[in-house]
Amino acid sequence: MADGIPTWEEVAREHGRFLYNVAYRLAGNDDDAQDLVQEALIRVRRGLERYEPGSLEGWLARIVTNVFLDEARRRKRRPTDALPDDPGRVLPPAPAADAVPTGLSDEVQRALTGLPDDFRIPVVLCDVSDLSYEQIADATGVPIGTVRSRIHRGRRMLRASLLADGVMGP
Amino acid sequence: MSDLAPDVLSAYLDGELSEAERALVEARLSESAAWREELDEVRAARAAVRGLPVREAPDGFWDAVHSELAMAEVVPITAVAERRRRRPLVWLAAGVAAAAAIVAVIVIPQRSQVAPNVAAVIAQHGAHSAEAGDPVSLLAPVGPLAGFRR
Repeated sequence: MADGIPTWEEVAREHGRFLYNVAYRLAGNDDDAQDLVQEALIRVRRGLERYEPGSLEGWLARIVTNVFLDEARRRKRRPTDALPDDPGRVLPPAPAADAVPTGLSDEVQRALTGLPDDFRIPVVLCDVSDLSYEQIADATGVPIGTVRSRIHRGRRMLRASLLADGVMGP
Repeated sequence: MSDLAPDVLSAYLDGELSEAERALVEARLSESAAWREELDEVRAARAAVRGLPVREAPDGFWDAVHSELAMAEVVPITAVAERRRRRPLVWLAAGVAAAAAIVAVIVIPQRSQVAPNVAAVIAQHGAHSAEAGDPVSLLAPVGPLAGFRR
């Protein structure tokens, strides 16, 4: 690390776990999370010269959120993806179903994934990434009042979904 | 206080309010069962997400990522990003194959235009079958006049 600017290898080593967790909670599955993280690290590497020492995890959360939004927009333009994955891809397969965490995690993740992007993103950035509202506003490019409203509405929707699934009691 | 929107309740839980705002929210909570109920709802949802375990990447993922990005030190980074989106190349290959198939269907049948030497057939047939009096044999003398090639 020179002048407080880490190398991408250091970012991957020291913040990769954080990055992957955020990507997984946004995407809702391992395959997409792997793509998000890999693309995010490519952007990290490209943008390291412009990184100003500060909240590195806030910066990473913004990058992975942007990758997630770009991917969501790309899928909207091309809703069906019939072709198989790149056969030359070297990434390992997602874990088998029995490796998925048990308990209520799956139900909560399913409810989270069911939220519209506009609500899921601020909820994940707040409750998974532990970013402040100001950092979330910066990461998503919306006013802080909108962040506050979306987090609250997102949590209410999440709670309603968990209630409907019988995960939470009334 | 009536202009206070309930979305301050999440901000209240997240410690995102000023002292003055907190005081307003707490006063409202003390007098409104609906607000207390809504606070309980968002608190439960917040706890559910915060209680999720950290999701670990599958084994081998980070080694693969390091290999991919290390390769980008040799290959321009944009090429690596594009390599992950090879699907357009698959479409291009499919398009070329389709075009080749169309050309094959249209061009190949036109290649072999048969031009039988009718005059020779008539002459040969006539030489061997004149005595039979069949209609083709009778045409043998007029074959050259009709412009049949030999």
